[in-house]
Amino acid sequence: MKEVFYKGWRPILVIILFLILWEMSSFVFQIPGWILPAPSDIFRELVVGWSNYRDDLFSTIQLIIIGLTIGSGTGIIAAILLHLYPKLRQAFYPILIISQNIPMIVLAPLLVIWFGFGLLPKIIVITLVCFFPITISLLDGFRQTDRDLVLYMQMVGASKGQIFRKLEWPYALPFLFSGLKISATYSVMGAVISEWLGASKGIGVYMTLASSSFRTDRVFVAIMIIIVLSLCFFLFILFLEKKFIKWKGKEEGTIHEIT
Amino acid sequence: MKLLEVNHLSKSFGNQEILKDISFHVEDGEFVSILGPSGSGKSTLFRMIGGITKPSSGSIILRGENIIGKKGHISYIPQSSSLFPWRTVLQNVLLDQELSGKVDKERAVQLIERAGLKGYEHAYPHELSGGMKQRVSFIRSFMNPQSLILLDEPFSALDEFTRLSMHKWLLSIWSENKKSILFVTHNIEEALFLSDRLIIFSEKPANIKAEFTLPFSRPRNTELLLTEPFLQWKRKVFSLLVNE
Ligand SMILES: Nc1ncnc2c1ncn2[C@@H]1O[C@H](COP(=O)(O)OP(=O)(O)O)[C@@H](O)[C@H]1O
Ligand SMILES: [Mg+2]
Repeated sequence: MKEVFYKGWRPILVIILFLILWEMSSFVFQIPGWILPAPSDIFRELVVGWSNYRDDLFSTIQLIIIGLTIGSGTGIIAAILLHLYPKLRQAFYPILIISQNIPMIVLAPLLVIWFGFGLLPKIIVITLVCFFPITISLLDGFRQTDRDLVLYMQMVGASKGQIFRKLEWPYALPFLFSGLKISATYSVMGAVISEWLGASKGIGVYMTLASSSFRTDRVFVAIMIIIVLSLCFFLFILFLEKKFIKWKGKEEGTIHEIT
Repeated sequence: MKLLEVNHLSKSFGNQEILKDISFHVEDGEFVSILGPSGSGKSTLFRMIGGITKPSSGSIILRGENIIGKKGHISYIPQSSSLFPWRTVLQNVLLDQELSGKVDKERAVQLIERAGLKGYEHAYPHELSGGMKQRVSFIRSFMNPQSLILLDEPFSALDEFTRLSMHKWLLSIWSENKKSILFVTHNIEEALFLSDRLIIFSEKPANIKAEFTLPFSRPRNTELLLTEPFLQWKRKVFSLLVNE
């Protein structure tokens, strides 16, 4: 925790300075609240308006958890299949890359046409944004497995399954977590976008309503919530990583010393 | 009894001939060294005995059974210690046994203690020195149920001091555990000090240039390295290697 403080004080200072500057210019230039509310107004709305967005918040959190779980599950399974069956990888790897060039904003309305307004199209959207970073980093992890260790396993007669379970999978775990960190952050954006498509609740809905009624302070509240949610999911993955990957402790320690 | 028999083994990669008509054998409980320049195909030979690579011609017989292309009949100590970084010392040592099913934790702990690594059972490889890692790698192979151990230049990454003490330690665990060793090296002194029998490979394409049975009695001590008979053998082998 101390370490977080030591490394964190610079960005925190910048943010505080930025907020002070913003607050002062709102006051000095008399900017109307519907164009740009002062940080203090946003903060007030965040506290006072809690009951307005509480249900939206919980609904979005639930959506993220479901979406991220299904998305990472899909990503992991895809990576394992593509790794264990090289023919599948040759066939699907390029398609996977191309799929990432289709803008979600274009795809999302189509998903609504095909699957309606229920939970399904939303989960598909989140899955689509989540699985890619996981699949790519896991595949990288599998492929970068130490050749010496693979040779060792082959020499002592390990089967393909044993090599996967005892060597490639644990070797790729840190890669999985790097992918998960990206996906966790993406999943929040994915959830909000999917709610824009049409939902009865959610931060995305709250945001749309706020901007169409010129409650710019609420738009900023929504932005803050999105940032905080992304951070929370990121930190949760970080926590899991620390818990599961103890053996990397030393290497990370040296990196800290350098930075 | 003959444990391993290699008969007229040849190997080419494309039109490049690496090994040419290699024949030798290893008796039960014997320590045999192969001395050869780097690039002469020693690791390739091991991969063929391990069943990973197929020879171009010839046979490899272990206890009367042809093991060409068959894995899981030997245990192996590579040049780098090849420990799994996410496994503790104890878990690493048990790896080979996990692959074949039966795990003997008690014996593992015993061997770790005998290797002077008491207290490190639950340490991770990154907490160990190079020599300690190599010891763990050796224990892992001695825990392997197979009776033939292939050692591929396991000391080449160690400094001279560590190397000498590792030699003595290897001889002591080898004498306590009934294993046969086929040892590959390009270090003359090491080969003479450790082995019962010495096989010398020529330059590429490698074939067997000479084979000697060494007269030094066991147990062997570091003092042996400076005795006149040992130095004579060293000169003999050295001149054989230089006079191409
Ligand atoms: N898979 C392979 N394909 C082509 N050439 C190889 C392959 N493996 C080894 N070689 C060649 O075989 C020769 C012997 O290699 P190696 O067995 O590693 O020698 P050593 O272990 O004695 O140093 C080298 O010249 C190497 O380039
Ligand atoms: Mg080699």
